[in-house]
Amino acid sequence: MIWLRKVALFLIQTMLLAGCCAAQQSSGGDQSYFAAIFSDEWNNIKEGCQDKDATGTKPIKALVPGCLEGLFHGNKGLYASFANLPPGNSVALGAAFKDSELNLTHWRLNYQIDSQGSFNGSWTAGGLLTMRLSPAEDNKKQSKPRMVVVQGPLPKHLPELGENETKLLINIYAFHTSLNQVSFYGIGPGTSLTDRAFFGMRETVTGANADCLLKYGFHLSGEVNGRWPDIGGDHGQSSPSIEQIYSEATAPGLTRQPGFLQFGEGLQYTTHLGGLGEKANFGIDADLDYGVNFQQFVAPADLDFSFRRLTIDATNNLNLLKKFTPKNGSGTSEQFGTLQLRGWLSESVAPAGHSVPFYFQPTLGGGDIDNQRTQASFADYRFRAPNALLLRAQYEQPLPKISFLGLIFRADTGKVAHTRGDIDLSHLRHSFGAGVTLRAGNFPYVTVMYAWAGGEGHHTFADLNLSAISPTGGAASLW
Amino acid sequence: MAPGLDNLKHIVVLMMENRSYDHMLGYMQVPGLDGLTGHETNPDSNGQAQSVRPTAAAQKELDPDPDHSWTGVNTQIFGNPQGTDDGSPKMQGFIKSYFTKQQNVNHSRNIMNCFSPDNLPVLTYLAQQFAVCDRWFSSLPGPTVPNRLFAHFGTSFGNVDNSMKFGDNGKSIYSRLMNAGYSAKIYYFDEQSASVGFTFLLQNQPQTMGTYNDFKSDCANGNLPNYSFVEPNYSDHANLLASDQHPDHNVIAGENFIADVYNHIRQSPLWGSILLLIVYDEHGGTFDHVLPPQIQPDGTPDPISGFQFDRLGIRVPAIFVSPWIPAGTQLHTQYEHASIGASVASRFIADPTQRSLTVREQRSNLFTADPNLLTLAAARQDSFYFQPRQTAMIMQGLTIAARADPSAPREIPIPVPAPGAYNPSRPMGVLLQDHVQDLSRLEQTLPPDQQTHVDISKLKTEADASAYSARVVPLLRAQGMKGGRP
Repeated sequence: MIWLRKVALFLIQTMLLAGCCAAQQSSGGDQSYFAAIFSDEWNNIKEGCQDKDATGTKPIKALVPGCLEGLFHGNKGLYASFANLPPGNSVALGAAFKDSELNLTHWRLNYQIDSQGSFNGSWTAGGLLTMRLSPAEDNKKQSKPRMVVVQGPLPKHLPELGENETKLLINIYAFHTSLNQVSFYGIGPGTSLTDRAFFGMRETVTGANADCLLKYGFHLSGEVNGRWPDIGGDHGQSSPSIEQIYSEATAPGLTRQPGFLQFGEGLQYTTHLGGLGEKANFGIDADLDYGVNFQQFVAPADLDFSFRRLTIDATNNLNLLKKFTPKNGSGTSEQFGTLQLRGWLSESVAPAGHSVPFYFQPTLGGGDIDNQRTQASFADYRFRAPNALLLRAQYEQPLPKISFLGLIFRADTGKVAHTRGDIDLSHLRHSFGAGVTLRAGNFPYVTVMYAWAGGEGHHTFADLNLSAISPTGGAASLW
Repeated sequence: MAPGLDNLKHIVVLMMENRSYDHMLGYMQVPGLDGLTGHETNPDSNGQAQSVRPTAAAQKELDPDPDHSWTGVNTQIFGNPQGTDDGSPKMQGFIKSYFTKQQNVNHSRNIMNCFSPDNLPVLTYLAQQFAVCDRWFSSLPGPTVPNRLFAHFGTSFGNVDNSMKFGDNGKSIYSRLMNAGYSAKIYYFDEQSASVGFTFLLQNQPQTMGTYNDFKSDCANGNLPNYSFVEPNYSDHANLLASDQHPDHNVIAGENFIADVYNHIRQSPLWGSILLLIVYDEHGGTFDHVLPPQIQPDGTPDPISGFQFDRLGIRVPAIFVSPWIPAGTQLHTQYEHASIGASVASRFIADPTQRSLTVREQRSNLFTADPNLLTLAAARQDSFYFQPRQTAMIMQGLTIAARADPSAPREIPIPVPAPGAYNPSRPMGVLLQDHVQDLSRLEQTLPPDQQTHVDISKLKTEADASAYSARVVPLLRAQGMKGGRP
C-alpha cells in the first residue's frame, strides 16, 4: 500500500505542476491555451486594478469591485480561494487554479487544483477533474435527425428536454487533508461532554466516482478510491489528546491506520412533483431526493478494519404555494414557505472480529467531518458510533414585505448506536433551532440559528450556502 | 385592436447568452432576411481574408471565451478599442479581437464559424414556423450584465461593465408591473445557476422569483404571470449541463432548453394568450456583418469609459412565437432590449404616467405594436412539439400502429435544408424573380432620392436577391409601412 500512497502524492504534485508546464507549451509560434489563460487573467487584473483610464481617475466604487473581481473571481486561471474546513479547524485561505472549459467533442471537462491553509495550521490540497458526457453534432444527421417535430396534439407528459442531465458524469480526484483538531467523546450514545479529547487527522484520498443517468429520475453511481488515514494527537489544548484517555479498545484504529481501498455503489432518485392547480388557492410542490449507497472499506494490510456501510438518505422538500392574485393582472403561484422532512440512516456491517475505525464512524451533533450540521444544540462531533439515525423537520419562510429576510425553525432527533439492532426510535436525542435567513431568489443563502435542547446547553451558528457562487463550494479538496 | 393583441395576456421572454444573429441564423439565407451570403470575410492577423463558414460546432471551438467587453466589441466593430470611427471598414475586427484572447491564428479564425440550420433544428424550425426579426440589437456594445439590465430596467445605469445592480427602488419592470397591479416573475433555472435578479429583486421574492420547475408547473396549470422572464442554466453543475449557449457551453443543450420552453408554453392552457420572445442578451464576440445603428444618447454616460450610449450593440437572434403569427413572418423593425420593458409596460399598464419608462424605453420600438407580428385574424389551430430522436424512434412503432387514426400524432424530421440546399450562389428561381420585380415596382413609387437605383436585371443569384431585399424593404417601410410605435 505504500507505493499506492506514493502514487497518490505524485498525482497531486503532478496536477499542481501541470498547469505551469502546460503554460509554456506552444507550437509554431502560436500562443498555447494555458499561456492565453494566464495572459487574459493578468490583463483582467491589470485593467481592474488600474486606478486611471482614458477619462481620468476611476471612482473608488468602480476600482474596488473591478480589482477584486480580477483577483478572486473567474473560471479560468489562478485565483484566491477559501475552504470551510471541518469544525475545529476554521476557514482556510489559499489559491486555486481553475479551468472550466477544456472541452472535447463529446465531453465537457472542468478541473481545479487548489490548496488552502487555516490559522490553526490545518490545510488541504488537491485536484478534481470533472467530465460530463455531452451531446455533439450527429455526423449522420440527414438520416437520423437529433430532434424531431411531432405534429398533432401534445401528450399529457412531455419529453423532458430542459434539464439537460448528462448521461455520464465522472469525477477523478486526489487530495490531502490535514486537520489539527477534531473532537472525540468516545463511541456510542452514552458518552459525556467531560469525556472530550482532541485528535489530529490527516488523510490522502485518490480515486474516481461516476454517475450514470437512468430513466425516470434514477441515477446509478459507483466509486473506487484509495484512502490513507493518519491519526495523531493534539496536545496543549483545553482537552487532553486522544491517546491520553482512550485506547485501541475504546477507540478502534487509534494506534494503527492501514490504507483502505474503498468501493461504493449507489442508486439515487430525484423528482419534482405537484404545483398550484389552475383553480386552487393553495398547493404543494415537492422536490424529492432519495439515495441508497453501499460502500465497502477494505484494508488489505489489516483486514480487521475492513467493513461495509449502508447509507440511506431521503430528503423531501415540500414547497408551500398559494395563489397571488394582483389587482388587475393574472394570478400566479407564490411559494411562501418550505417544509423539509429528512431521514438519514447510516449502518455499518463488520464481520465478527472486525471493527469500524473510529475516524470512519459517522457523527451526530454540531458539524461533522463533511461540514454537515446535525443536532446543532450539541457540540461538534458530539456522538459517534458505527450506526446513526437522524430525522429532521425544518420550516423556512420569507418575511412579508422584506422577503430578503426569512424565519427558520428546525427540529432534529436522532441517535447513534453500537449495533444495527440498536437503531430504533427509542432514546432519541432532540435538538431544536430557530433563526433568521438571508435570502435571494426566494431561497435562503445565509442561515443564522440559535439551537437548544438536549440538556447540553445551546449553540448559535451561521451557515453559508455557497452553491450559487461555486458548485464545489469554493474548494475542490472538500466535497 | 388586432385579435392577437386583444388576446395577449402573457408575455414570456427567454433570454439566452452570447451569440450573434449571423452566428446562429445567418445561414438560414431566406430571401428577405438580412443574413449571410457566405462571402462575408474578416482579415486574420496575417492579413488573409477568412470567410464565414457554416461549420460551427456545439462546443470546443470558442474557448477561450471571445472578448465581449466594451473595448473588445469596439475592436470588432471599428478595429480599435476606443471605438473611434477612422473611416476604415466596419465589422472587420472579429478575428483581430479573438486573436487577443489567444495568439493562435488558426484558432482565432473560429470566430467566423456560424451554424448551419441543420445543426440548430429547434431555433431554425421556430424561426420558420413563426416570426424572426433580423434587426434586434443588443442594447450596448458590451457584456452580459448591462445588456440584461436593459431588459430588466431599460437602462444599465451608465455602466458598460458587469457591475451588478443592487436594489430595485421600484424601477425594474417587475416592480413597475406589481405596483400597477399586474404580475411579473423571473424564472431562473435553479439555485446553483442564480440570476442577476438575485441582487435587485429583494422585496417581493415570493411573487417575483421562481425556478424553472415553477415555470413548467405554472405553464401546465395556467398560472403564468402577465410577464415572465425565463433564464437558462448558466453553469455545468452536478449532473446538469449549462443550457445558456454562452461560449463554450454546449449549444445543443441550449437547443434542448429552447425546445422545452416552447413545448411547455405550447401545452399550456394559456397558449392562445401568450407571446414568447426568444432573444440573446448580446453577441458574445461572435461574428455579425450588420453595423449597429447610432441612437440618441440617453443622458447617462459611463463615467469610466465615457461611452455616451449613442449606439447599440451587435445584432442578436430574436424569434417570436404565438398562435397569432403566420408561419414565415419576417420582422425588420429595429428593436433592442429596452423594447422589452417598453412593450410590456405599454401592453399592461393602461395609464402612461404609471409606466415610468426610461429614456431608452421611450425611444424604442414596441414589438407589441408591430403591425407585422400578431397579424392573424384567428389563432392557428395547428400544433407541434419537439422530442428527441430516441424517444421518437420508440414512439414510431406506436404511431405507425395508430396511423389508421388520422388525428394521431405524426412525426416528421425537422425540415432543415440538406447541405448545399441554401446555396447563395444558386440562380434565382421564378418565384424569387417575381418577388424582386414586385419590390422593384414598389420602389419606383418612392421619391428618386430614396430609391436604391439597383438594376434588377443584373441580379442573378439568391444572394443578390437577399441583399436587394434587405436594402429596399426598410425604405418601403419608412414610407408608410413602418412598424413599431404607432
